[in-house]
Amino acid sequence: MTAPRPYTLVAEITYRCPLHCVYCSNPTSYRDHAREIDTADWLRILDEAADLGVVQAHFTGGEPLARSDLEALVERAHALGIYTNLVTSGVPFDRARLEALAARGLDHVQVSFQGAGAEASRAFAGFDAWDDKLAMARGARELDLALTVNVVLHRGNLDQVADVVALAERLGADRLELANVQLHGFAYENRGALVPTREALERAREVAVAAKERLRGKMDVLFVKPDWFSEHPRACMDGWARRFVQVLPDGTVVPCHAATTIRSLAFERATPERTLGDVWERSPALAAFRGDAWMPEPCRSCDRKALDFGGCRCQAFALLGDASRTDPACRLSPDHDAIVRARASEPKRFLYRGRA
Amino acid sequence: MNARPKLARRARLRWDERDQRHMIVYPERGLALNASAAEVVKLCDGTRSIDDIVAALASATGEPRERIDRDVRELLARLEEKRLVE
Repeated sequence: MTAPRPYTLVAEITYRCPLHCVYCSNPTSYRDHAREIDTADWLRILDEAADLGVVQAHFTGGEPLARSDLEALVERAHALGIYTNLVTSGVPFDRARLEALAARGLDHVQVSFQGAGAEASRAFAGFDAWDDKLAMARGARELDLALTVNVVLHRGNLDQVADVVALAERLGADRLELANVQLHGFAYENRGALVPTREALERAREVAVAAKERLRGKMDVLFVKPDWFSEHPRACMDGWARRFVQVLPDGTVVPCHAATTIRSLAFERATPERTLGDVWERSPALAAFRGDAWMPEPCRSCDRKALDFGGCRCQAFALLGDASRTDPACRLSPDHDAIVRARASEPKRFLYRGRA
Repeated sequence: MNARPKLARRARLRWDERDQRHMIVYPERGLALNASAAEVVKLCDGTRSIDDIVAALASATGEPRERIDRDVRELLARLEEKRLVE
C-alpha cells in the first residue's frame, strides 16, 4: 500500500531533561537512543518532513530547551510554513530565549504542570519546577503565543482538576489538556501508584465536562480518558504510522514515542542517504501495522476498526508480548483480563526517571 | 462576532501545495478550506466589515450578493465557534 500523508512531525530532539517525572512516557530504555543527531541533520529532516506534507511540528523530548539549536530548528520549520509547537516543562526558564524563539516564528507553547501547585511538581517531577513553569506560561502569553496547559492526571492529582482549570484560566491558556496517564515507560513501572479509582476518575471527568461547557468559546478543555477504564481502546496516534511521524534524538523514525519498546521491530534512522520520506514509505517496521491487513480477530471483522485502528500496539506488546494482538484495553479482546490484572497492581515506591 | 473579523492570532492560513488548497493551522489541528472559503478568510484582516467582505466578493465573482452574504456569515460563525476568527 502507499504510505499515508503525515500531517505532524513529532521531533523528540533530546532525551535530556531536568525533571524526573514518575509518569514520563519516554521508554525506560531511553538511554539506548540518547545519542543526538546534529543541527544539520534536524534541518534536513525538517525539509524532508515538509516535502512529505507535514504542517505541524512538535519540538519535544526530553526537554527541548536543553538543545541550544532549538531556535535554528524553529526558524527553519517556520520558514517551511510549518506551525511550530514547543512542548516544554518550562525548565530552565529564560525570558530572552523565549523572545528569540517567538521572533523566529514559534506559534504555540505547551507547558506541562504536575498539578495545581508547587507541591505537585516536587512530588511527581522530583524537581522544584513551579516558578519556571509559571514564568514560561506567562511569558508565552505576554509574547502573544498560543498557550496550552497540559497536566497528566493520575491517582495522585485527580482531585486537583478544579484547581488546575482555575490555574489555566488565570494564565490565559487557549487550551487545557487534562490527559489521563498512559501506562507506558516510567508510568508503566509506576502503575500501582498511578492508576486511579474509577470513582475518582468519574468525579474528575464531571469537573472537566462542566469546565468545558462553561469555557466554550474562551478555552478548549480536553479530557483524555484513560483506556484502562474504557470499553474500547483509544485510537492510538490516529493509527500506526498514519498521521504522525516521530523522530527520536538519534534520528530513528518511529510511529509513536513508545514504539521502540516493541523489540520485535527494527526501526530505521533517517540519514543523508536514506531520507525521512524513504523511511516513511519503505520501512517494514512502519508498514507493519498500517491499514487493517495485520489485524487479528476480533478486530478484523469489527465495525470499530476504522475508529480505533485496533488500539495501541505498544500496549499489546507490553502486556501480552505480542504487538499484533488486539489491544487488551478493548473489552472484546480475548486478553482483556490482562488489563484488569494490571489495573489492580499494588502501589510501590515511585521510580523516578533518571534516578534509577 | 467582531464587526471587523480577523484570523485568530493562534491560527495561520497557508497554502497546501500537496492538496492544492488553503488550510488553517492552529494548535494541534488543521482545517482544509475550499477555494471560496479561503477567499473569505483572506479578507478577514481586521480592517474590513462583513459587508465590505461581501461587497468585495460580489464584485470579484459576480454572484448574487444575498447568497454571498449568507455563505460568508455561515462560514464566519463556524470559524468563530472554533475560535479561528476573532
